[in-house]
Amino acid sequence: MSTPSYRRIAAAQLRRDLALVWARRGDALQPVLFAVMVASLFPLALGAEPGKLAPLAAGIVWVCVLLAGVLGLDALYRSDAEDGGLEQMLLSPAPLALLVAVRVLVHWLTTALPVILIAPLLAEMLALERSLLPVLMASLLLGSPLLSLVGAVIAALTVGLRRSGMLLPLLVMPLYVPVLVFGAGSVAAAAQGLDHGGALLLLAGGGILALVFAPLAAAAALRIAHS
Amino acid sequence: MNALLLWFHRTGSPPHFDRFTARWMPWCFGLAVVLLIVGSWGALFMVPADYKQGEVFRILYIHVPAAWSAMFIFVAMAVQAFIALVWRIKACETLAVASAPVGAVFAAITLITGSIWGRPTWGTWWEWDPRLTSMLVMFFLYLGVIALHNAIEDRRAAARAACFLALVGVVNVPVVHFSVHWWNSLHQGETIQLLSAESRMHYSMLWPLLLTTLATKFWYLGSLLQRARVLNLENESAQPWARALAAESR
Amino acid sequence: MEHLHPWFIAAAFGVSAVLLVADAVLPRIKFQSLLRGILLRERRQPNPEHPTP
Repeated sequence: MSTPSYRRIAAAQLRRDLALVWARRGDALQPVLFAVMVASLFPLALGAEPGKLAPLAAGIVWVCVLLAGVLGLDALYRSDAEDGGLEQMLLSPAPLALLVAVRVLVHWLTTALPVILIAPLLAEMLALERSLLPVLMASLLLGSPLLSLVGAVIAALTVGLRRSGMLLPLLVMPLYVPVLVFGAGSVAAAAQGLDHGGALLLLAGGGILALVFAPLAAAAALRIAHS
Repeated sequence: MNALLLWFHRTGSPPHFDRFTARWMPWCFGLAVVLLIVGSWGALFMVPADYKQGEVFRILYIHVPAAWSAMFIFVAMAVQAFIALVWRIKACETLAVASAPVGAVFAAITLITGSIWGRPTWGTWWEWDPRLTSMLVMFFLYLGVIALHNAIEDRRAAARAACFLALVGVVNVPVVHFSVHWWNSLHQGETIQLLSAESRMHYSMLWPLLLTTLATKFWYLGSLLQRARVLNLENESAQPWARALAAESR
Repeated sequence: MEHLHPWFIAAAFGVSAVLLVADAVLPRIKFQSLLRGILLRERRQPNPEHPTP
């Protein structure tokens, strides 16, 4: 039997990963709760005057989304590494990059997207100026795939490390700096009345590059880490 | 061409690698130390004080070479990592991994001397401008390469993973610089003319900088060779040549 | 602050010197301990198949 078409491979992987997420659907709420809790820490720490929080609001939301994503990265390959599914993926005749891409898509849909959907709630908690919310949402929608894709590459390098602890977040943070700068920066630009389109376009461009190269890089990293 | 290839293959084999690194390391370090002493002495006592900044600008003579080296070493590490991963050359894996701590040291020196220099000149220990921020991120990337290499048990896999991370990092460094520069020009903060003296430097002020810069390059070579020797021994500690080396060192 | 400048200069050059010395010395210590480790292992379990040359 010849190798099935890419579409069928992707669909099969998609079904499998979605089923796995559904089996542990209780866990899916955790990134959302984490983001809400971290966002709540800031008014508690800084004092709740709207005047003080509002200029920081977009940045804080971005950091919450980023941190929630970072904490969820370890789960990307962990269950497969533990039960041998990873070996199956490595041995499969299907292109590993495609399998990884689907895995990252499911991961983004189930961990990043829910947090983005409650971002308006976070923004409201932090007294973000209402007119800036569309820019914030656009930046999150364009930036979070980048975070997931780049994170997938680094998570692939640390797969199989038993006591990795904080290593994965530490490795991934410096790589997230440009995404954060452009993402939160776009809202800051809009707040000052400057053109924010440039930052958003850069995020979009970066996202497209990552979409093409990150699955390939992650596949290479998986082979390196697993050999 | 054959002789060169032969030399290349011979030096790559662990026992020869050990002898090669042991032989050249002291010379590199020695030259670096001499250049460093002469250059520093020139920087501290021979060069006249700066018109605007006074004496404290002398920190430039250690800060700037350290910054250049931190950046140069990252690129060198990435090149070695690329060769190691693409052509699967074990010696290059070792060299790439050995470069990371040296680069981290120079990045730390850059950050610390820069901070010390900044306090009397800008009035603050730190600024979030593009150069400082990208150097800080580069320092974190160096630490990441080191940490990843230490975290993986299998030494070959650890070296390859560290090489991969170094390649990812080298792409990120200019991206960070560009992004923070955009953010800074957006916010139109104070433009920091840190090295306004540099471009208009007269030769009488320039020569210690050339010496200290050369010193840091030779220091990198010496430290690289020494650390590569350690990694080589660590990887091959069960081999007969390693046991012989241990026996004769007693 | 002018009168403090020599201290700043000394601090900068001093910290750099300390870091560089550490960079040169620490690997040497590791190397010695690796050699010692090999010797100890040799004494504890001499391998008859691969005798030490």
